Amino acid sequence: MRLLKFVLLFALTIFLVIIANMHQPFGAPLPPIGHLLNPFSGFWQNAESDQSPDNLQIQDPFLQDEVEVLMDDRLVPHIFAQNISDAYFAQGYVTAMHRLWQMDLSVRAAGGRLAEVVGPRAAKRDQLQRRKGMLMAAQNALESWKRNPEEFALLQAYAKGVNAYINTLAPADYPLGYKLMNFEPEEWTPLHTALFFKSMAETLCFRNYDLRETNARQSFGPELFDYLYPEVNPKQIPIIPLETAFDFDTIPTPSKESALPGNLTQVMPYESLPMSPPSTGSNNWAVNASKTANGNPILCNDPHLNLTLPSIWFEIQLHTPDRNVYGVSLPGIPGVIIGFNENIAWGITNAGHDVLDWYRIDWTDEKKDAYYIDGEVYQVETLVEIIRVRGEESILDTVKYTKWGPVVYEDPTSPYHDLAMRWVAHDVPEERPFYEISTFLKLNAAKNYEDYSEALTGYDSPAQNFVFASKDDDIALKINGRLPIKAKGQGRFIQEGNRSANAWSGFIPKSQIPAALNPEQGYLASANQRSTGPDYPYYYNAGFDDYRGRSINRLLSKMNNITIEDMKALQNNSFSILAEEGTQAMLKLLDSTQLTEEEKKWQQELQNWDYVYTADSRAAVVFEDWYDLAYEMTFDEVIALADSMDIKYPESWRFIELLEMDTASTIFDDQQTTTVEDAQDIVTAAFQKALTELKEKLQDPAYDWAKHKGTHIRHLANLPGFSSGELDMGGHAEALNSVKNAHGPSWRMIVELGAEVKALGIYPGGQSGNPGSRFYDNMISDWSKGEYYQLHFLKKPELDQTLYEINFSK
Amino acid sequence: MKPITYTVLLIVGAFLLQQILPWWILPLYAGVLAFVLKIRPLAAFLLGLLCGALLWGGMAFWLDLQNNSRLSVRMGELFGGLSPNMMIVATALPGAVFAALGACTGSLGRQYVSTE
Repeated sequence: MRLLKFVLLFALTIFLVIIANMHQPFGAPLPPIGHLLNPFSGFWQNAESDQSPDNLQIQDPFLQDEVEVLMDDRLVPHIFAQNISDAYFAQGYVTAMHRLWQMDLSVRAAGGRLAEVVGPRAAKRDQLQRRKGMLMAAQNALESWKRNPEEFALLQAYAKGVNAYINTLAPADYPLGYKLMNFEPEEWTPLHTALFFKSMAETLCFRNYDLRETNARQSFGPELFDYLYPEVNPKQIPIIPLETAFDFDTIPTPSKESALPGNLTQVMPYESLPMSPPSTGSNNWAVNASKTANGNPILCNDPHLNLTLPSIWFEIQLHTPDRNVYGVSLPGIPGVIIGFNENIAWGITNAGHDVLDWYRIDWTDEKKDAYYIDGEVYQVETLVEIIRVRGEESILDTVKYTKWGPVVYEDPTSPYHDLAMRWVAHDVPEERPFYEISTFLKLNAAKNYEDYSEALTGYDSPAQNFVFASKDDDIALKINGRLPIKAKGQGRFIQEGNRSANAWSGFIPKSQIPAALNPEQGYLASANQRSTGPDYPYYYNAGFDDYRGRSINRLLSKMNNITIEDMKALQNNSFSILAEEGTQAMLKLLDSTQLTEEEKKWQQELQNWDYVYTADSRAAVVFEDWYDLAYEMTFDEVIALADSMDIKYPESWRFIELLEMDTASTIFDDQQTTTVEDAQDIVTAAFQKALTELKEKLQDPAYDWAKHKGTHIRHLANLPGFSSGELDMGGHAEALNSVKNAHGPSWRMIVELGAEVKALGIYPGGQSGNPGSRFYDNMISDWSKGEYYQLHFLKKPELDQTLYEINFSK
Repeated sequence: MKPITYTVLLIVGAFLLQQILPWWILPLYAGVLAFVLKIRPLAAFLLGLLCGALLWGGMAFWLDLQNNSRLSVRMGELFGGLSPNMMIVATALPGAVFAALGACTGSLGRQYVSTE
């Protein structure tokens, strides 16, 4: 009897211990709860004390010398090293200290290794990442970086720093993300850095509309297509000032006959691959001494990205004998990506040039292992991707590689539709003195325009508009990257892959990329708008911004005696030219005779609106919905097709142009009705519909633009409780203050290049990736109010506001 | 006397052991200790509940205090809307249960061995 009692209770205890150690017990989305809940090694261990830790002493034989790191009152590390290798080691170490889980997850997501830790629900996504050649692209980049031993050694130094930190961790010390998802940190390598780099390329230069535009052209025919989707907005103000001369011998580009696949008789049955939001862009500008109040050049940058916690950026200062640079870094890549030093400042916005084209593969037979180019037969190269899936068998996916690139789309029902992806980020760079990592290494230490120009030559993708300003009053802007030479019209549509003539003719030499230096106007600015005016000799196609660039030019061209306060106001400016033009055009068309008294009140509100998207604006709410509905009603033809195919939508600027200039156009006719509508009918009907839809919400006097937009900062893995609350703030995609629902200025920086370089900065998050830290989200509130912090740009390792120090030695 | 000895040894000992060993050392140690000290089953169970709750709940409480409940608020959301105090309870509970089960098992084992 006693034996029985003992055995039963023993069995029960063991059973419960096993359950509490199980990953996802009985399918519940939980890690082992015994490990998670116990306060000695579980999540409680990540509940950091609000008191700063004591100073740390770290020893590592890899270091050549001592490194002193001051952690300031926002947990920004100020690294003082005697050489760049030690500095990058320390950067790796402190970045890992605060963002290790983010680094790990980002690289897994990019390279298609999420299912390994997350399980089968990530398998399809992983498969797509592999098909897109992300891992291959990273390996190619790494191979090129190895050609320059100094560059490669620095990557290794960074990796060693990260790993030195990882080696200090017992399971109780793991970042919370690892505990919640139940996996362990893995060793960091230069390949991880390369993957992270390619994930930025994926965010910034993966956008492609070939499929959608091809389907649109097939559906509407060439005339209607050209009417709906003209390439150039006549109101556009390009980045490179119009008077800039392009004084070089253009590489001749043969004109191409239509590159559309000949036997393309139906639309493509595919969906576009996921892409980052079209609003992914940024603002930057530089003003020279002639335009500022105190004669100091000023440079500003605010990159617009998905707003996440942990934040995409990590502030840092690196000080060695040959450089003293401050700015934001990307957790996973050594160096400072956007920032300034004692002589110069630089910033980046995305260059929207299309660098991804699709080619239809002409198979020799249904086995699909060989294809034709110019009548010659080429064998496909296959790569078997092994996708590990937690808790299940690995998935094997055979990817076919052609001379164009990987075959990403395969249609099992037709041999005519398979498409290969030609993406510039796949390319192995040609031999040159240095590569991307050195671009930032050199920018970080640049002293003048020549240094900046040289640094940029090592950089291929993602192409960025690099703005520059120096203490000696040079301002410059280059559309910098590996830009394909295309024939006119090439790249908008899917092309026939059996003709080598359809390939890009080459790449624009770095000496011929669009660039400006010290223009008459005294400033240079970019906001992802068209790079050049019509004089630039090389054709390019892209998705460009149409409003922010014009706003900057409208304002900066008239501003003089510019101060820092002016720059803050500019970055936080929530005025939208789209709203201005759209409201005016639609109010002109609005038929008051059709409106009720209530509706006329809103008409009045909109007439009084100043087109500024402040947090408390209610006119903004009405305009947004009115505009969206008018747009949908106008392009009902396109929307009707969207159910059965992936199709392009006309640009906003084109819609407004039609409202302004072509109100009798048949496009305004609603296909569903027997009457023939014109612009006035549509605009009036949309107005009434918008007010009907918004009636309930607007009854609450507190319902405003901030609520309608619902801005919040989202946790990287979307865990409830780990995101921010809703933020009460204004802004709009098309305004300079480009705040949207979960996307916007991920860093705001203002640099004044006086005798002493001064800078302001802020981002919506915190330096620590630990949700238990007081530095997880400490900056969000101030950011939402449009405030900035003085950046501690130190000359020596001395700072009153030091929370603690880390001293590295060998 | 014995209950107090057991309580003190269990809390202090488990605290030290959990610094270096995984969490299930708690029920294991609670059982071994009950076995050695010859605690009777019901007493073992109740003392296990008490010590487990005090150790895990107390530790959680202290960490939560140092942290101004920043993390427990978020973890509570994750667990469906629990408050920080409920998160402490949610921690104390498994501690209590496992310590109690382990202690009682050890006690029953001693009783069985003693009758041999």
